[in-house]
Amino acid sequence: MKNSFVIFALSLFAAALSVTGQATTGATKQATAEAATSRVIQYGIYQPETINDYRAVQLHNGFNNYVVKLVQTKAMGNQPGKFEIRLREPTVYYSFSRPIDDFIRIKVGTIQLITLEPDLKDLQIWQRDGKAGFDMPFNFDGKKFTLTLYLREDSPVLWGRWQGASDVNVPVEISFNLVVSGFDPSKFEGVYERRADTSSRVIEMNSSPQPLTPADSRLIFFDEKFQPGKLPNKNSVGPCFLTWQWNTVETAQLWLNNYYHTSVTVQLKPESPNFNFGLWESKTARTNAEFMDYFKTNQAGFEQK
Amino acid sequence: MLKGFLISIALLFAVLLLGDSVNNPALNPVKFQSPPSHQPLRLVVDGKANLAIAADLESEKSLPPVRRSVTNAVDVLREAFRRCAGIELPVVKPDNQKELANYQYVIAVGTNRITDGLGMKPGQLPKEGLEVMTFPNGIAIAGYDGSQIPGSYDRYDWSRYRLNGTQNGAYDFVERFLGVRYYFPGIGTIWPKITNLSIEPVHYTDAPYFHNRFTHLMLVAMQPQNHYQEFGPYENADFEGRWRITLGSRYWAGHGPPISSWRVAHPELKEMMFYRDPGGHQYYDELQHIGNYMDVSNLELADLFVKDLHHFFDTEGKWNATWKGSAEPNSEYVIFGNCDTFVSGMDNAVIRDLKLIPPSRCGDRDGELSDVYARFHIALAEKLKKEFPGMRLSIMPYHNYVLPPLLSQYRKFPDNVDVRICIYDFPRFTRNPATVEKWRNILKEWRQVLGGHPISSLWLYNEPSNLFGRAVVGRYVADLPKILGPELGREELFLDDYGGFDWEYYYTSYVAYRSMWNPDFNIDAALDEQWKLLYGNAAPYVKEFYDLLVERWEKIMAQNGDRKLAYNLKVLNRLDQLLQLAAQAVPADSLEERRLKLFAKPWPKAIREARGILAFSKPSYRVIKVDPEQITIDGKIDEPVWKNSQVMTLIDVMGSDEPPKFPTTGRLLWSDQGLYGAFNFAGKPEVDPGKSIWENCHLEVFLSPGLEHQEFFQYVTGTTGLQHVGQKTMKPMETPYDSNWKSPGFKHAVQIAPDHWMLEFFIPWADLKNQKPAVYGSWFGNFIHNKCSIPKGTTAFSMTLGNNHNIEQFGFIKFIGKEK
Repeated sequence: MKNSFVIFALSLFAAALSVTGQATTGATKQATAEAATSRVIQYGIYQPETINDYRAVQLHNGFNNYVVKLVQTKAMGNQPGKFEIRLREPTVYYSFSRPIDDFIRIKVGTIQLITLEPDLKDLQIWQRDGKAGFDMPFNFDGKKFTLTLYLREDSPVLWGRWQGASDVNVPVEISFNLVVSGFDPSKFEGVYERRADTSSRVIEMNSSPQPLTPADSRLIFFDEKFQPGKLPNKNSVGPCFLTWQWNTVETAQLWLNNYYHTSVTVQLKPESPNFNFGLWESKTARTNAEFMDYFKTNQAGFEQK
Repeated sequence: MLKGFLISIALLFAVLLLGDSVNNPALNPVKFQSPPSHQPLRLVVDGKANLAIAADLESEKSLPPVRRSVTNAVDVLREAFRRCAGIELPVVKPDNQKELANYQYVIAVGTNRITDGLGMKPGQLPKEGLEVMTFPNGIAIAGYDGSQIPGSYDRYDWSRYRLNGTQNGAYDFVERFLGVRYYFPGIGTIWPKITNLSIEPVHYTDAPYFHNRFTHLMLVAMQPQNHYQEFGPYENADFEGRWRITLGSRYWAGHGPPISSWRVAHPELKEMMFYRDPGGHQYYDELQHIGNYMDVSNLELADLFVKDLHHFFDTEGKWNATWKGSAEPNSEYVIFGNCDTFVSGMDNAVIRDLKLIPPSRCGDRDGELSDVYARFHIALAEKLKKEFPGMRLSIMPYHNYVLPPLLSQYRKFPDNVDVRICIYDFPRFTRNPATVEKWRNILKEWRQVLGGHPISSLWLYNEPSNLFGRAVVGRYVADLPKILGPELGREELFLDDYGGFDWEYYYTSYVAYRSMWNPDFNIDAALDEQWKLLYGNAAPYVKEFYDLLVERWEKIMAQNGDRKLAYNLKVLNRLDQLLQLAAQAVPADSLEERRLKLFAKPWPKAIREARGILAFSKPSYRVIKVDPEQITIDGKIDEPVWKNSQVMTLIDVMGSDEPPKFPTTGRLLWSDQGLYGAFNFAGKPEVDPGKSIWENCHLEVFLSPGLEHQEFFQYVTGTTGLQHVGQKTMKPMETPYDSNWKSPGFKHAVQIAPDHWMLEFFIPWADLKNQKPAVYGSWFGNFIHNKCSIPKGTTAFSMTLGNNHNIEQFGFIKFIGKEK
């Protein structure tokens, strides 16, 4: 536990250093296409005595480096154990990473992914056709699905696919959870200027969930106030990104409250409960303007193929 | 010259040892009178004594040995002189002055010519009182003896009733002047070596504070089959006498008449005698005591009781079908106490018409039935007053009638009633101010109801499961008269050891019974002396060990009961260390080492359990889903589907990591219809159809749907195929345990083999108020095997810490979907 805390603290420190050092630069050296790789790695975990089992998978290419953790916690107190999928790099803090534990939540019928106890030995690493990633199978009371996360050699985005077995017909709901850019730990709500830039509009903060349409083919999350190098949180990391294919999506909503935590929920068509998506976050902190420049320059890498 | 010098040193040593022995704070405080004036009595000089005992033993010969106070006193003195000084004291009749003239000194024991001549009047002492007085030619030891006072005992007296003042005096004398200490049998009894014994003039008296100072377990503990090998060879020593455990009055209270006798005496009156609830269940169980419940709402029961009393006394006790020797009436008291069965929500026409359960007491764990019982007790007492004037009725408020009645018509009891209150919280929590205030107020109110008569007795309870607590709670017996003041009379304290008499904790019992004799007994002085006498150089470590246990109990356990806080790692490590230091401080193969092994006996397990509790996290069991037609409940556990299930291994319920000698394994499966269980129990099972479910090997299953601890269901079944089910709601309002709750769909079957037994069961969700687990949902639950064959033991899925109903200790049961 002590070692994990040291690693965690050092990570935060490193993140702070990298933000401080590059707060106003934003743009880094131009990344180049590089073979995508995926592998299981040793990676520290907070409070290991609370963990039953976990796997950390590194997904790397010339553009980015993601570490995804699949974690099975022990039962603690009066709460049973949980299964979570956590994103821990590139952004050590904020975006889809800490303090969010499970950036992706999935419900199949009435069964939450968090209640499952998948066997982590079933995790399969693969590399093919210029891509590298992993497959993790899940069984929801006989209904089988596979979650795949992967990188393309030409893209900084972490791509994903949620695929049901051919005979599966069940409502599925998928949520993404994130902290946009940064937050003030002393004020969890009421002090933000969150925005979501879709391909068709800019959605402002709202206390009610905002329905999304196929016209909103992608979301760039940013905060006007919480930007790198600026108060109230100089350690903000800047915008992050989410996209998905709408062909299997029935409805979707965005919760963009004046609150530290943001979420997007997607309901899939029961007859084809499959889902293709992609998300992006970065170790390099960028102001909103710097990110938009970066996005425009690398737009092909942010598009689904 | 050297010899003289050495003798002087020895004398000085003896004086130092014994010089303060008269006022030794480690002994009972006594009442000193002005001593007579004479030279010191040099009873033993250089290992020789010119000394005899003068006692009349003839007058006691017709009495049972336990009541031969003078004879027993003589034996005490002779044994002490033999073991300490190697001297056999002759016994001479007091009237044989010619023979006595041959001795320089005499110890006059019991009432006789000598004590009469000294002006001693032991018959005027309080009962069991003692008097010790020196005179120029010796010492007189005499006391209030039933054996010496005609009419002290009658045919109805229980043998535990004994008035042995002289015997008490002899024990006090050998402790005070010879330094004998009776801590525990064999090596635990100290016989100091004496070569010279000189006694200064002295005169003192003493008498017990509480008339009855009682446990029945000391008698059991002294049986040869319960002898501890660590003590050395078995001796039939009278530790009841040594610790003055006795009934010094005819008062007693308890569950009586014994229901096993009373129902047999009147089989035709079963319907009248035993309560039947509105659901039709009659609380009548021939196999065991618990499960029976006398219908105290029916005053005909009181009439029957009085009728039986007449029959008993008219035949001078020869007819005793109702009692068969247990809780019999005596010449002063009759006892009435319902069976030890908890019944709430008593309901019938009488209770409703007379409104005997006030609305504010509905469901009250302590007082729901107080007025029902008060009506009965008052009616019985009034009948007794009329038909047996002078006799007293002894009753025992307990369970949900421990509080005084509320209704004004029952707030004045007749003056022939004595009350024993059962207080589970004492002596354990006498250092908790809120608990003390609560009970003081209850007793105060009872005293008002009794017209100013104090409570006669308390049924006290040892600490049941906390092994550290059992070592110290005896010392808090001394608190009781001080904290309860005038509300508690001096009739009796009864200490229920809650289990067996553990000689490993002899020191806690020692101070408990000394405190019953005199609540001002200096416990710490006695223990300080004890550690030194028994453990030599290990004494400082033993003292620190004990003092640490006391500190943790008073500071934490008696206040908020948090075991993890009380026995945290630092404390456990220090306890471990002190045991090691003590072991290193005593020479190998020494007497101190042997005694220390007894002291150390419970601690490895206790410390291991405490470490287990610190490390405890609820276990989790994955229950796989199956199709219902895959399992037949026949006890054979041969269906292929069982192979896919996870194995549950039951563990020590107290948290030690000791693997059970006879393992129990279980498996669970579930379907949309219910829960299936299959258990295999190693070891020869107890299978006796003549015994209740609780006395044969059995499994308890506890299920608490969801994770909110709202309620639990209990299923019990065992080797004889009997079953018990029950339910208890915890939230939002806690209700009493409902043993009338039914589960019609519960199925179970057993297979019995010589060296093991197997059980299959099925519990339908429909019986659990139709609560079915969500797929991948979790419930809480526990599975507890009570092995009732020798060696007995209890193991569980999740440690219970001694309380099977402790819902906070249940483990997780996770209901997995169909994944194959």
